[in-house]
Amino acid sequence: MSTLDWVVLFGTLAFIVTYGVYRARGSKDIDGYLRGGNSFKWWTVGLSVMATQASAITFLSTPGQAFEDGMRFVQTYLGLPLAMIVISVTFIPIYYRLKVYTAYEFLENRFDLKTRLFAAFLFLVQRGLAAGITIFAPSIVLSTILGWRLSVTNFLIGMLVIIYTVSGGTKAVSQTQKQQMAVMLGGMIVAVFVIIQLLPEHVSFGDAIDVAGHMGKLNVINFDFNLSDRYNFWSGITGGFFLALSYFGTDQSQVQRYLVGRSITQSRLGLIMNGLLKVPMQFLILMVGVLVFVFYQFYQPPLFFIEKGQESVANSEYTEDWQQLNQQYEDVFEKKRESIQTFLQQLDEEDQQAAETTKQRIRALQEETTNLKLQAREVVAKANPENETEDTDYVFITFVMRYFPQGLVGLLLAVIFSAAMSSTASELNALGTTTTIDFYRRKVRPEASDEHYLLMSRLFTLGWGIIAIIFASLASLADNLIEFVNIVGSLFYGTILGIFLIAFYIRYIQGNAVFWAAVIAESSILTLFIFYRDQIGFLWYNVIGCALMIFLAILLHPLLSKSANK
Amino acid sequence: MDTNDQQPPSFSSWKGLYALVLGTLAVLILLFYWLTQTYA
Repeated sequence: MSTLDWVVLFGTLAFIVTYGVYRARGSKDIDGYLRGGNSFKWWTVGLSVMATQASAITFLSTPGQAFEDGMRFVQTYLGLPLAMIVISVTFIPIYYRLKVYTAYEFLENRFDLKTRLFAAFLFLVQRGLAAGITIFAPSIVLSTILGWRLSVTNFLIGMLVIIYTVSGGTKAVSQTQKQQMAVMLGGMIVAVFVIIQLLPEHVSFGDAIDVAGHMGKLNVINFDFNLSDRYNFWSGITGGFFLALSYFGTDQSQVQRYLVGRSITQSRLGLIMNGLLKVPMQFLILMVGVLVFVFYQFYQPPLFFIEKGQESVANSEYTEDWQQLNQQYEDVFEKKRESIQTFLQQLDEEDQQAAETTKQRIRALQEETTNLKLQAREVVAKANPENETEDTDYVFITFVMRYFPQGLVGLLLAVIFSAAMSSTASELNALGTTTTIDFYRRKVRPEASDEHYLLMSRLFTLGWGIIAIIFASLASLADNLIEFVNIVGSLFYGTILGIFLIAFYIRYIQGNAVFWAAVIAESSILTLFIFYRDQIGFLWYNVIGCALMIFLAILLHPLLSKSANK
Repeated sequence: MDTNDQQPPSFSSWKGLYALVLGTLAVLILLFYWLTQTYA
């Protein structure tokens, strides 16, 4: 990496952290520290909500996902705008009326203490795990790319976040997220233009779209219903709706972001902004991956995107196998490149029949490429069973490091670090708040002073930061990081959402029934996942968990209310 | 903390703004469908 890249990277990060600490000066009481003194306008709320969801995984994994699997992942977000409307109408007015710090306070008001603590506990488990992953995910990729030790990148990301989150609380988190979101959006827009510029001279943007489309990468929408298919319209609009409703409506890391709004109106507008921009933003990030795919149809890509894996094979007894595979891979690439050029020419000449024949040939060659890549992964695993074999998350960052001009490499790395910091900051802030408000203030020291709670909030946030860094150091790489985080979330969100939906909409059901229904529903979801995870797409766990939770609460209500009356 | 609800800017009611969100989603779905079908 050039000096200019280092300057851009560290200049951006230093600015964001300094700015966060500077803006935190005013947080001298618990309200300012946990709710930002309710001083923010809708665009800060909206950007903060978006930055919290956009973790580094979004920028590392999503383009890789599009590179491998096309655009269909965008369907996951189709239910999100609907969820934003429901939260604006139902959740926000209640949270504001009760003047809560955490979403779980509302549950005690509506049900009882044990239901509040159970929901808060599920949040701490799920979000505590996720905080480790949000640090670990970019760390493992960045450590490989930059040649740093994993513990160094884990520590760097974790410590940068801890500095401004502990010192400034919610105010610092929301203020820094504005800058971080600007870096992220700006970086991705620049990336699109740079990739288009890097395409061969005779290949226009329209040609690139044609190539991507005819090679099956513009498979955005699929209306066929299939329970085991992870991404289709139906799972996106229903499972995605429940996931978003639960994440934005009941997950403290998001609730805390919009409770900083100056008024109900400002909070609502912030969420609506997210509802309008989220799907196009995901589409843009996926498009980056598709354009990288097109670029690699004209310039030879590596057989395997992780350099460490390649080196490991080179130093093993499988060197010859690797060379043979590489030779075949290069041959297939050359044939494919020629065919694509012929194909574009045939499209220009409007020779549809010839173009169709060439297209079939390209698809067959693409299938051969995929098979060779699978074989390469097997060789990497044989060379050293500890080698990482899933290289999808490395596709985009490898491309950036290899082809982006000086300065822009630093900018793209700043995008990834900013994303990691923004989501981790929200998580630590929410974990510290929930521990302080729902457990410490409610159960341990109910009568302490404001200063004491402020100090404890800082200490709990610091504690969760250290736990997240330790989790990040112990984590192992899942097949695809963004899927892993969504899967972990989906296992808990259905139950939590069910509790909140009953609280809002089924007024006659009381605490006992809800508590036991939640325990049974959560146990059932975890059991289902252990035994049937290959048969049920992960988004459906949100729907199943929520439906099961409501069904059980309705069923248990007459039994438990009778026993309570006796 | 201001708990009073106000009208959204540029809209006479919240319903109008929610309709905009739904309309935008519908347009995006149609656009995605068109893109998918063009190369199906």
